[in-house]
Amino acid sequence: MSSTYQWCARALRRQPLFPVWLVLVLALSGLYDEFGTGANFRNIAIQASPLIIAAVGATFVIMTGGIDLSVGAMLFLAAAIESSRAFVSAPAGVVFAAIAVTGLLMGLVNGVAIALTRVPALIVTLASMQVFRGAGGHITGQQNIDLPAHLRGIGTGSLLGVPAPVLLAAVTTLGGVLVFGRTVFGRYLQAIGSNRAAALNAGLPVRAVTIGAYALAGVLAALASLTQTARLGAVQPSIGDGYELTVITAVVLGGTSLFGGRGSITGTVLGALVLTTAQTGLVFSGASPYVFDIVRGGVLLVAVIAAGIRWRTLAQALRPAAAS
Amino acid sequence: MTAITVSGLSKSFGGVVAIDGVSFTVSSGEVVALAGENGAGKSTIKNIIGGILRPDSGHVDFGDAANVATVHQETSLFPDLTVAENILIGHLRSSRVGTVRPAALRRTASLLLRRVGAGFGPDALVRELSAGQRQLVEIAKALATEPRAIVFDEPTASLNLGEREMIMRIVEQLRDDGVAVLYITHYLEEIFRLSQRIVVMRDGRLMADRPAGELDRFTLEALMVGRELAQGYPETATPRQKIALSVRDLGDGARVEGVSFDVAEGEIFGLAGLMGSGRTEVARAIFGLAGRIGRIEVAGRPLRRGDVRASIAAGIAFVTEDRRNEGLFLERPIRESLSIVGLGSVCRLFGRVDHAAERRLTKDLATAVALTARSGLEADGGSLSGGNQQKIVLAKWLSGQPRLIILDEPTRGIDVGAKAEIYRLLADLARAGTAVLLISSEMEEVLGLAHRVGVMHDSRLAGILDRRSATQEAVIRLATGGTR
Repeated sequence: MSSTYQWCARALRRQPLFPVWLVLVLALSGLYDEFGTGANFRNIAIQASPLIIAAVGATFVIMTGGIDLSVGAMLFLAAAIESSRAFVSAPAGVVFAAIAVTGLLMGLVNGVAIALTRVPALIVTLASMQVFRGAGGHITGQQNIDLPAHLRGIGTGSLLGVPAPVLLAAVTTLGGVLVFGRTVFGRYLQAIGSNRAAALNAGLPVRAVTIGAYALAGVLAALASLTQTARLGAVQPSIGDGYELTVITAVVLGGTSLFGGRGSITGTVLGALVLTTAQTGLVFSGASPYVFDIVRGGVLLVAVIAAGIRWRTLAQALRPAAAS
Repeated sequence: MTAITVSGLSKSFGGVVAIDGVSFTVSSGEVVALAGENGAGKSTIKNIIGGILRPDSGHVDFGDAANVATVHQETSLFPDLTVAENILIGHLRSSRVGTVRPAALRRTASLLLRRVGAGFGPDALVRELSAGQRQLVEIAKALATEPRAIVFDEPTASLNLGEREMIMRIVEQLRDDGVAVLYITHYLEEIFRLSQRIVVMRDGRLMADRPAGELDRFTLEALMVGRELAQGYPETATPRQKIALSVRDLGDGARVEGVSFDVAEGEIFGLAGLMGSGRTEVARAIFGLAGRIGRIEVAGRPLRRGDVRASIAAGIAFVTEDRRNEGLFLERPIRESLSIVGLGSVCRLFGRVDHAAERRLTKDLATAVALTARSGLEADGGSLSGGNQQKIVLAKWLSGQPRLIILDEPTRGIDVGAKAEIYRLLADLARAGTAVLLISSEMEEVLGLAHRVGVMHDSRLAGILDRRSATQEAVIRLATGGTR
């Protein structure tokens, strides 16, 4: 009895978002008959996939105490290159590799600028966001460009009944959890975010790890872009517009501290699921798409406030007895 | 006349008892010292008296003198405001319509500054003041309310000898003026010099409340720690012949210049000097945290400049003076702060961390430094007392045996029990052949531990004293610019 309670308390302390998501799903299923169907859940999972992929990347960055405002723009530039004349007729493997390299380069630009100059990440990525989005617009001419069938498979195909985007998101999540919890790189990320001076004093490769975090975020943004465009079947000028806000909200909602040093990949995934579920629920309610912006902003604010309360009060309440 | 009456105070934080039924009084014209290790509950009492915390039970009575001021340990000043603005921050409104009149502020502040014997004016920016001068501003600020009682919380923690002397004179003056003083400090000398009565706390309870004359140093320490301490300093072995660290004409490219000394394997080399004399700069330049000029050799091999990783690879460990900001990861598990340096040794293929090996490593390190982490190694580093945090900052370097360990103020602000533990560790390290470079403002510990003492004055190495010639007087003479 008490051990069950303790297990629940520990799980809740680690992932307080899970019950929130559960309640949201149950409430929406109760409100709308078509919400609680397998087809709809499948749809939510597919929709959440690119967000999960990009948000896992952003978690690495935010864990170091940084931020990446250029996620949406990276999504767009990667998509623009995918749709460019050079690649439209190339084999899928070549295109995917090229997009991954594009993502890597974009991430490296961010990472190198931030790690070497120590200009705040907010400013660096605010600048690179404009550069990337401008470059994407230049390449596409702000046109809708349909993708050829062989590039859509990654969005529409499935393996053993699991949709390809969900599979990619699951692999990304698993990889993220492993890197985060099981590798030296993951540990260093968290150490740097927690206390940069102490990390320097302990001789950690602070610059290399910081660059690595942004590079990873770039690659994952490119992967999210591939998934997203393949699902839509086309590259639109609006791709990734305002996406950084959704991504950062998902990460913060998932309990990662904006100051770095504290957070989790599973939290981020839950954050992305909560946001996508809420968005789908709004579609069912027939609300205008702008309502989602209101909800997202509200959620971000509440999440940040709750984070402050949660770490202190909730942790104190649930922890047996912490030393003062 | 009794100015502060504390009766039956109790306070818990989330189930942990901070203080438990504490009662004592402070009378006008009396200095009462509040002694105890970190975590004994001194700060809680200070905060309740200052009105920052509300007690669970019991109460504090100020008699008819309801005006109590607190001089804080970590200065609560605004660096970009002037001294006058800081002193009178609570009384800036100097006219009826609510405007600030700078001339009036300056006048009032000057009077208060004169009272504390400050050698600077009301228009100076706090940013430009030294630690000691800031403490004077802090005291002047407390005096601005004409208090009948003052609580001092570790007022001399970051001050040099001269500044400490100055603070103590002010306290004596206040006492003679009839102010009731509650004085919280780690320094036993200050307790015995200033106080008429000593209140000793341990684990939240009052252990003793006696006239100062009835207690001696060792009784007081035993009351604070709860057991007899091994008296004095641990035995150190004779250093070996081989030179571990050789420093020639070292500078930091800014102020420090021409510092040369050697440290042999197994030798404890103390670096003494006043605050700001350049000791920390020397340490940081050797470790690679600051720019440097000059030549450094570790075990005969030249050391790359400005490269912490190269220094660590050469076998140098560095224990920072600022453990909270530079030493450990406060909101991460203790385990991660302990293993951060040795993580490579528990790392497998593809950078995977072997968690079982890591737990073994950190458990061994915790045992080696006698860490007392009541909630285990998965609790946050920030939940530990200062002494235990300091043990972590030291322990993380012990996964391999360092060739040279540099310690900058390793015992600042930690309790006597933890101090003794750190002394023992340093002696053990030296016996095993590690060269130890010990920087400390506590002259006693430098003289008690070091084989030789280098004394810094005004960014230069003023001289090196061996154990026979290193007396308190000799060190002070060199540190203040005198000759040998």
